[in-house]
Amino acid sequence: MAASDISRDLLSDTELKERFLEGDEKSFDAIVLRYESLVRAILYRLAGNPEDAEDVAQETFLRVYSHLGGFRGEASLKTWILRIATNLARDLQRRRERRPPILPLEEPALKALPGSQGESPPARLSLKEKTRAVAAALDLLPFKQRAALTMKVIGDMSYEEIAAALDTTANSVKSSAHLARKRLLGMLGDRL
Amino acid sequence: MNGCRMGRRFLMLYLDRELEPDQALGFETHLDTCQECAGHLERNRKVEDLLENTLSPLTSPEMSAAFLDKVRLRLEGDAAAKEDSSAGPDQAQSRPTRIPRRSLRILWAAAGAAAAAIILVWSFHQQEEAVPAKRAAIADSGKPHIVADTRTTAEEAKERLLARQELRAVLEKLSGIPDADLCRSFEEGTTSLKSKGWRIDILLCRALLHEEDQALRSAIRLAGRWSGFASVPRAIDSLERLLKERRYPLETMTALAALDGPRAEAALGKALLDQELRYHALACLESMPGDGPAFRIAKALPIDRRSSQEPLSIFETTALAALSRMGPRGVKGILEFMGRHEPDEELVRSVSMSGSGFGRELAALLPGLRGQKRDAALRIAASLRLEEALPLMRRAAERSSLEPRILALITSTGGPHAVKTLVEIYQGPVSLRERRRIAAALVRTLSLYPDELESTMQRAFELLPAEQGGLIPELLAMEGTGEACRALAWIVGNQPGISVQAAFELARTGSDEALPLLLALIEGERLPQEAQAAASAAAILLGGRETVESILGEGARISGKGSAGSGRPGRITDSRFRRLLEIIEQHPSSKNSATGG
Repeated sequence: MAASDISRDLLSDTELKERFLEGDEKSFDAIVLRYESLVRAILYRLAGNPEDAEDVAQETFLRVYSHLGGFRGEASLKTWILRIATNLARDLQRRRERRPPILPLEEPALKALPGSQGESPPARLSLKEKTRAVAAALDLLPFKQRAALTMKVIGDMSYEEIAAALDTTANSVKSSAHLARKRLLGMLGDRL
Repeated sequence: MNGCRMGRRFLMLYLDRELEPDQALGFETHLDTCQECAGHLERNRKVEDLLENTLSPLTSPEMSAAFLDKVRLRLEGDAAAKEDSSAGPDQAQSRPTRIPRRSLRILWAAAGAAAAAIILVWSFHQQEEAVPAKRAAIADSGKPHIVADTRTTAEEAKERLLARQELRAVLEKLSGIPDADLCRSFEEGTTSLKSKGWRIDILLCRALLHEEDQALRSAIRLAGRWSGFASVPRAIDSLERLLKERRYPLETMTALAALDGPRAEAALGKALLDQELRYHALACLESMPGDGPAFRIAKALPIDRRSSQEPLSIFETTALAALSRMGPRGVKGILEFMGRHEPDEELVRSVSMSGSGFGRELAALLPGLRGQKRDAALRIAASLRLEEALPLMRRAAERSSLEPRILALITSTGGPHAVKTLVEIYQGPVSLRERRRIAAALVRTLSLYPDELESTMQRAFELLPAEQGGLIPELLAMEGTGEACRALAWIVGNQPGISVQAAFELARTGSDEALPLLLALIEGERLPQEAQAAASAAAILLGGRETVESILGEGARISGKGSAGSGRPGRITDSRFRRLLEIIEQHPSSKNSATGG
């Protein structure tokens, strides 16, 4: 492997973009490796299932590949990529919503948990059960709230960064994240 | 719903890490006292942890490489599909022929755009040397297009694997090498890797995630010494995970301390709560720069102590000592801690014993402090007898209309400067009641500076002359403390108008110091007659005739003098004794005391 391949890890996003536009394909790989885990992690919660998340993540980077030349650098590359990813995930959700509703009113994972059918919850759920409950409750949140909370918790992003990624204002992100937390706690109740 | 106003305002922002550091610290202090907010925070944190759990399986270098392969495959597939579609027959014929009017307008617009794109692409092709063919292809199609590379992703993956194996071999060889030589040996051992262009710190980070045993241990040790390592985004992730899993925790904490930053501080702060790790975590935090580590230590205190009645544990004392060694940031940490917990004697003793530099740092910080931190600082300053704090105490006293609490701080500081400060306060427009407080505060300084008795009492009587009650009520309120007794004895000898009252009040205190003080007065040569009689009467009232005679006789034998008007040293004649009894009977203070004569 040539020395220049490894040194890409040291380059800034802007430098990688410039090198990619100059014809350096490996710079695109460096961009993918830099952001794929964040994109996949966020999409995992936005797309609803791992398969769709994987597809949307791949599609995101295909679009990055196609449109990187048009990226003017007004936002950071990270928020630009996340904006593509969330737009794709939102489109996916809209397509799903147009279909006849086949999902039960309550997420099966949440419903199947002990304490959901009127019986008193057990003293302690296993970690796996709790994790499932949180994931299921998160999936029941509106898209924007889910996106704001996921980017905050998983991406450790500021309100401004999330606002840029979701094409909204920082105040809107703040209220979405707060509402998401509140609703999550409300749904999970004593299960934690 | 959170009923706490602070919680409603700050909790979510705190969770979102959107508070300024000062605000965050303030809210953390609030969390210590507000169970409701602490409960909300804990529940939210649980949710966050679980949320992160749901995603943790998604991140690993192998998955990243696999994902990149898939993206590359799709790019190649899309490019191939584009080529097929451009070569094959048009499929438009199979589409419906009827096109709505609105769509026609869109088509016209699209056709115009396509024409513009073709012209643009054509112009790009005219400058082939400036734009590589593949970029032009992307612009042309709007779809990705791949130009074959010289090496496939599989080959790269193989190279990466080999590099990791080589690195592991180097790390295993380094397992027995002392820290001092580690970096140099590592540099030498990884020469071949570097010559191939591999970035060692990234490899090292991957090694931390995946290697085991000796290789891992060397990797952790290196992480703390390898300057480039801090720039790797996942470095802290790796070390945090290792600490959580308790794999080589001491080496991991050392590496975290070297990498620095808020996350490293937070991880070490958590380790302070772990019985087995806390001493090393403390040492690591102490070695780190910035205010953060000191606040982490202060935030964790008290760890073992459950009430101010309990002594501090050895660890807590060590932690306070560490803070006091950390200069101004350590002082800030201590103030933060003491702002939350009343600095009892034990705490202040620990702090004051921990280093002479602490007082200097505290004095330097004092003028810039406000609110609770300033209050805590003044309390510590008083306990440390820090005279530099007196001007601030004086201002605080004047602003609070001479609040006894503040006067007590000045008193505790003690010394000539404290006396001077109290007298200066008196120079202002103060009421009789306030003068009484100041005078009492002056007397209290005697507990620290007994040698200043004469000057202090003179100052006190300047403030509160004998005709205005002369301090006796304030001294009685001090309930027989040593300084109150000494002050009363001074009044017996120096304030004729109230000497009898002072003598009996001294006897009434019941203090162990009272009788020796009275006897010393009786033995004094310059005591006025009335005062002499009052002291004798009070001494008899307190100790009885025989005791007084015995002690005075012993004193006279030692000094070689005889008691006036007696056949043997110290003897009190019957007539004198009767006169003294009369004095006792006449004085109202004697009514509540039992006579021993």
